[in-house]
Amino acid sequence: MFSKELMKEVKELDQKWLEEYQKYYKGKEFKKTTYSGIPVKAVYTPADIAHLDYKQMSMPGIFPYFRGVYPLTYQAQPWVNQQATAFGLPEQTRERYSKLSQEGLAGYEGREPNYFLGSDMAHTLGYDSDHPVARGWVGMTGAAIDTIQDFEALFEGVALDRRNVVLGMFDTCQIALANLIVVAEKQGVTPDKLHGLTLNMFYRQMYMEIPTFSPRGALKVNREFVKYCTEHAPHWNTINWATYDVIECGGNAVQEIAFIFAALIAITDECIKIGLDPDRFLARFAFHVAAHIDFFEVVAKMRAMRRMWAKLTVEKYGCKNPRAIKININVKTAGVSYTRQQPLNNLMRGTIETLAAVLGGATSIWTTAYDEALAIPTEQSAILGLRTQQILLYESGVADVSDPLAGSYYVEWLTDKIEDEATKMLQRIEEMGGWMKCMEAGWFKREVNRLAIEWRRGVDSGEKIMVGMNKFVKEEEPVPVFQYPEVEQIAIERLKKFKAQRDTKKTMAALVALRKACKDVNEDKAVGVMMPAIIECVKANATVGETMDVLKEVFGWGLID
Amino acid sequence: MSPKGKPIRVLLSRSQLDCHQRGLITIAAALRDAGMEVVYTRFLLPEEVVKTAVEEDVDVIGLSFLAWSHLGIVSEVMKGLKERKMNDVLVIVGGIMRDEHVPKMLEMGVGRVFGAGTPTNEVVEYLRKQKG
Repeated sequence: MFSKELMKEVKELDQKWLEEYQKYYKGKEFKKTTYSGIPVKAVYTPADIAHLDYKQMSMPGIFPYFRGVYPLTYQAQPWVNQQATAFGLPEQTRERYSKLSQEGLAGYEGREPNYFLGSDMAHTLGYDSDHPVARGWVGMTGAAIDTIQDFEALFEGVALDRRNVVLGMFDTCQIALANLIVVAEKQGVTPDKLHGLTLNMFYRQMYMEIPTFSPRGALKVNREFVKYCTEHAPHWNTINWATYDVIECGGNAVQEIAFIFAALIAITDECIKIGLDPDRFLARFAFHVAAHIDFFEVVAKMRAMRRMWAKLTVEKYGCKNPRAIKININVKTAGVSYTRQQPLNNLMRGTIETLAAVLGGATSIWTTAYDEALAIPTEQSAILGLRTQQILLYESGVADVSDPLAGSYYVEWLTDKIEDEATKMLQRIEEMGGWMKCMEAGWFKREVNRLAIEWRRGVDSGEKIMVGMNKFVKEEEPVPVFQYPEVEQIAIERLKKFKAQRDTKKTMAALVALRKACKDVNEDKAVGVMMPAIIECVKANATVGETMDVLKEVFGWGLID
Repeated sequence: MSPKGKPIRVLLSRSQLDCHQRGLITIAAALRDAGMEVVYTRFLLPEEVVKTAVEEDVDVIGLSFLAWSHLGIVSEVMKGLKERKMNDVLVIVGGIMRDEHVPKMLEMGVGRVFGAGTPTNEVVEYLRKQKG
């Protein structure tokens, strides 16, 4: 990228610097590595990026979209404030979100603020409020959503043609979208007018110990889901590739990219197998990545991901549709970097991480509230998360120039290095048989757990410093912590009433039809039948749990060890 | 070593609904490094914890929570242990919870509650003191 003359000067200056270094530090070495364990030098020069091709780096909005997917990053469309809140009963979640919206939550240009909601842990796994397994979990860390009535309460007064909805329902997200479609229909909004995304993490047993569909079953559920959305809800983002949790579980940035690319290759191949056009369905994939505390690594990895995605879609899948070649990156600041001790310190961590997300060119950002190492956010801490983003956008000037760190010797070198390492790891996964094989063998999880244990040992020994946790420790006044409302009995009563009032015969018939549709899908006898059958179940007043039981039975469900 | 002259046996368990495995994974490694025997399971219902504790004849049960279901589950586990007359099994709890929930759990008979970020050797030392 540089002239021979310049490289000569670089060499000479390098030599001079080395002499100065020796004078000051007498040969002492200062070894540093990034969060992901990539060794870094003390200073970078043009020599470190001389091999780069300016054409490959390109410009924002031009292939390979490395510097951003649009010609401008935030000047025309600031990032979307993707703050999530959900707890208790559906109306409690709606009210909290409405309060947050009034604080200036910004959505996509010309649209109302996003509505980011989620079910509690029991409901995301398909246990209704009255299930014995749900006891003690109802309305905790998410809302208790069992029935179409609950979905109606969530969306009461919400104009579904003007708002992007984020359905944080994980394995039950297909059922959640079916409910949203039925609620929207009552508002006169057809599926093709719906915008939003499903936090669809069928692959999450890669790194997380939580029961999910069997890997094979998950691919079938999701190829059906992608097919339905591609044909009927073309603005719906079907799979949000949450690399975020790789970091949360102990993994690093290289794994984040390689693991998720392995999973998305698996589902892409599966969708192509049933005749879907990658130019259409890949346009509705997006990333959900972690902005962890290593500032430059976050920026570098986001840039690397955009380039890797662009190359993959063009080189492997022959895409021509620019929308399929460009990938949007949604970012959440890393909960795992936050500490329970001295929780106000998390405000600083959140600010650093949000800044990294901005400089990396995030499409939407979710700044984790400072008290999320204690509980879900209070109203005040949720607003502070939003304010962090607003101060960065309106006061700091960091959003005024696109990809402002481009050309930094270090950032460019690190971006390239992360892409290289991730590409190598992805090749290794492919050599081991690809996503499915590695998944079934538990390889991903072992790798992540190994790093989690290493990290813990580092913190225990004091080698890794967490301010306020293992250094600068101090007793202090507690901060206010969110108090969950008691909703379990109310949710159970509502569900009982709902079931008593419905036409049970009709419900059961719809569930039987769903079982048949799912079996046909699972045995490769039919395509495109699962989602319509789920929508019929919703219309026949089947609950989320009842519908999910059918999917679990047919597609396999459990923990992989 | 426990008084029986055998290594301290610890059942570490977590609800299947709670996806936060990291705490227990790292505690399991630390206890194993310290020479203890660790049985690691995930349960759906609290009674499964008690059943496993009986079958595995453990000295200690460690439960981890990060999603606010702790009070109900701990109380059911303690009740189950009492019913089986397993009063000598030490129960410890870790994870994320309100400060005022700690005395409630101690009242139920929990030995100690370790909050997130506790150095793992504190857990090791505590178990050695109680069961070594």
